[in-house]
Amino acid sequence: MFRQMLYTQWKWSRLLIVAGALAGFSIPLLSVRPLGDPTVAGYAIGMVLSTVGAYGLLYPLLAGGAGLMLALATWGPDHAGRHVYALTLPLPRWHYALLRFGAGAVLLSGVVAGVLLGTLVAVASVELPPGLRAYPFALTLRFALAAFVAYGAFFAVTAGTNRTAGFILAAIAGLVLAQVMVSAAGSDVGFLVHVVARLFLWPGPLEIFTGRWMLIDV
Amino acid sequence: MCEARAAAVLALAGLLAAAPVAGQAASDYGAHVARLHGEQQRLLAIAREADRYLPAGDTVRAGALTLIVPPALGALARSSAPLAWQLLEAKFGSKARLVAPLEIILQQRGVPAVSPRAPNAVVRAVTVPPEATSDVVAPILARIGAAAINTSQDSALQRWLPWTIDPRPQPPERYGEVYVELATAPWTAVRSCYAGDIAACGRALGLTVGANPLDSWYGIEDRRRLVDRASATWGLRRLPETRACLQQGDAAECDAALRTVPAEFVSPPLGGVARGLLTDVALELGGHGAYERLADGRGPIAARLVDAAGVPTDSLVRVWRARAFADAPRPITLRRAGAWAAMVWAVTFACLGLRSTRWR
Repeated sequence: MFRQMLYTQWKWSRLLIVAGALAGFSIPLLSVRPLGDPTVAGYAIGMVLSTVGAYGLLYPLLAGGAGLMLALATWGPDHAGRHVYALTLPLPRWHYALLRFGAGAVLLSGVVAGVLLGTLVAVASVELPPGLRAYPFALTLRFALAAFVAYGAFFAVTAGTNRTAGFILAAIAGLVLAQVMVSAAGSDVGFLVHVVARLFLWPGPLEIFTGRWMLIDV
Repeated sequence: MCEARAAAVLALAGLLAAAPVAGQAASDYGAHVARLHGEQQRLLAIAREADRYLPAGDTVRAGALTLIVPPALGALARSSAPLAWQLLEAKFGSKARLVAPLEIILQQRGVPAVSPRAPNAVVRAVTVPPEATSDVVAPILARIGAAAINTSQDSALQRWLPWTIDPRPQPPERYGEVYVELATAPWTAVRSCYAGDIAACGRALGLTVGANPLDSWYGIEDRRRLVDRASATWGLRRLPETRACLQQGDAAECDAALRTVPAEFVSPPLGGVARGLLTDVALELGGHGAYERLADGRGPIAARLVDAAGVPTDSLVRVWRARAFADAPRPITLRRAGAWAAMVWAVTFACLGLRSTRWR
């Protein structure tokens, strides 16, 4: 059953996975380009680190984007078919959702593999100046965890009804709107900052996305 | 006052921008500088005249620190000034009194500006946000006061230390910057310092004294790189020795090119942040009176730092280096706990998805 589920999800989302894997493969290669120039590599290591750091911003974006798109692709056909396929199966709902989640998680590893391959090729293609080190495995592990968190969060949202998703979106929009109105009224109360901090700071669910994402550093 | 000063500065900047920058003889430069100086004096006179039409503010004093404030900011100034003065006194000791000629004007959007009291005072203006408290304003005042105190340092110390000794503690990120410099700078002394050679750290920081700083601070293998990096700054490009050095890598030609550079133009291999933090460590280790000993000392910088810190150079450099290594930036900010937390959150989200009720 799982293999069949995996196969169908692969058919639905293979373009996304291939695109994600290609993006994941390209980012590390682009980030180490300055090291290909011996003048820059020997003299302007600060510039090399800035470039690697700037490209590092793309890893959490890709992880979040891959998680979102894969979650949408996982449930999209079910929603479109009004869940008739799922209802024909002799499975409880939780079991079916678990199979869907597992299949999506396995497919997500394709994007992670793209990042791993890209980092390894990128590191092998340049000669690191003394003082710099490469962190391909740590970066890939972090990318995998971030993508997994994003996939889990978006999977939970898309697994529900459109009304559930609407409620969540409305709650987020309501928070932003309330903050805008409170600020417009001249109040110093900034609760949105606290909400964002709870999400992105330890032990918030999105903490994994924050901080430095350096393939090469000291 | 602010508008008039801003206009003066803008006008001066415009003159500078419009000025020709290439192909001038020394006499042309001299005339140009004299003209700019005259223009500056004229604009400052206009600004002073404009100041006369502003209302006089209240004077708030704490120690030798003087604030001129509009009445609306009086309470904020009275609570901030003593805190700022405490910070200055703790760092600079009796030298904190050098801040006396300075008048700091507090201003705020929507509050009428006030004029400085003493016509020849050194004036600095600070715009404070409406919700600012003394905890925010006091460190800013202390920083401005510190900058004024730093200007009284002798030229040898100022040349070695392109950094404002700040009464506030330095954030760990600053030491992280030094670590990155230690790990990545190409100079021989810096590389050896990174590897643990404390004497090399002294050379990299410019603490060793020799007849020529080039020989003291830079190794033979650094010379070509130094010519390559600094030829534009030092005007070496026109020299045939520079071309021979860069094209053929001839060490003697590199040396010949570098010998044309006045010794005072040569900076130590490690930059201003590294030297500033070393000074900060020295003042911290030295405790009471450390700044006075540093500022009043004469002779080599290393000896003055030793006097200030009360410990030998090696010990001082060792503490500085240990701090840089302790605050080295972490490339991948993924802790074991963070990884587990991510797993737990992902599984929690998945469980929420399993509990969905789409077809019930």
